[in-house]
Amino acid sequence: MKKGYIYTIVFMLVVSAFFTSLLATADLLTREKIDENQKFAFRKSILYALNIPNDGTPAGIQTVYASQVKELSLDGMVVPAAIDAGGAVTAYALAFRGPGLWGEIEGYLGISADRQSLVGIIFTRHSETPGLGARIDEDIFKSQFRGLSIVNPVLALKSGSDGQVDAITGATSTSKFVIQMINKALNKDLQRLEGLQ
Amino acid sequence: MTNEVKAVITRNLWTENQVLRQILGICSSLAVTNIMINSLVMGLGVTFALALSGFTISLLRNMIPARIRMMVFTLIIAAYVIFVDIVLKAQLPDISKALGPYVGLIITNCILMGRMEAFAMKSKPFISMIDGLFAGIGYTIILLIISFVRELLGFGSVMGIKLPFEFTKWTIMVTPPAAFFLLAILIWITSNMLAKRNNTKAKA
Repeated sequence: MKKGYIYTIVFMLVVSAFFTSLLATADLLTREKIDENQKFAFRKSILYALNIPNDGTPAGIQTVYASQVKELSLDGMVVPAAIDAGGAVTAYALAFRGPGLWGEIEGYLGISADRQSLVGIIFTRHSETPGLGARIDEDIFKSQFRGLSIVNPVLALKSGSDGQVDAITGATSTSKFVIQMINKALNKDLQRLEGLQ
Repeated sequence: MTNEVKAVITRNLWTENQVLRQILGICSSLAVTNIMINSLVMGLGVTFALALSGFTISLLRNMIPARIRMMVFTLIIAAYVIFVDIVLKAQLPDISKALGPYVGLIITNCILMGRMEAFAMKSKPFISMIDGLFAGIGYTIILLIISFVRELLGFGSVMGIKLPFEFTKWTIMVTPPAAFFLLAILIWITSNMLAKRNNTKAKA
């Protein structure tokens, strides 16, 4: 046989080693940039949920986040909080997650320090249908939550004259899932935020 | 341009187009064609991987043991695709997020394995690179055609630019079924066009 077993094994080892090291180098060179991108995306989301204005640029967001957000900890969970000039907490960003139509939906709820109303909402991860369920990313849907009262902490979709939140046309399931997971997060964690500094 | 290069180009762009004639790379043709920019980036990624894989595998074609050639193809294709994925994540994070897992799935795209096995293993490096390049371009063109229709009717925009007039959007265009039948219609039309051309050639 022209190409024996030894040749086959050695060939495979050499080729694998060569291409793996090529990829490892590429990974090393871009790791910092990729981490930066992820941090930027996270900070941008938190600033939106906490309704803190910013100019949208990486530098701007870094400055604003550093001076106006403090990352608190609640049982190992990171709770970014908006702080005023004196360092007192004005709003909490509570993480939530739950099943969506096509995959998990993750996001943060901005909750006022007195835990009476929502400051905003942001979705950081979802796999919903573009043009339908994915419209939860649009301002039209998200801005509904700014200032929403959660004194009675069960939110509901509008039907008739009840409910506070408009569902998305053609995305009833996604809208229902989102309300469910928000209610679940509020139920579980809202009380625990009391006095968190 | 030599005849050989011209023949390879014409074959890959039209007469043996990977999607329309070889019926390869269908999964991604359906999955990413809801928006034109996604199709463009996907197409560029596939073209890049095809061209470089073709070149590399052709360079190694006399050294690859026949019984493990599929493994070697996959290894080299995967290396280039992961490289594309890393670059996207670093330089174009928004598009990387929009494409999600589909960039990684280029590795499983039948077009790549198909070209390696059918062409790169038997041809010289330069022509293999040309073959890969134009197989990718042919694929990208089809994706752009399908996504043009889907984005126009489903979102009312072209390449993200909204049209100046309003109309009721065809929401079904946003969902996978639309991609299925648009692709089928495209294959039907182009098969007819090619059949007519072959008939006239045969008669002449």
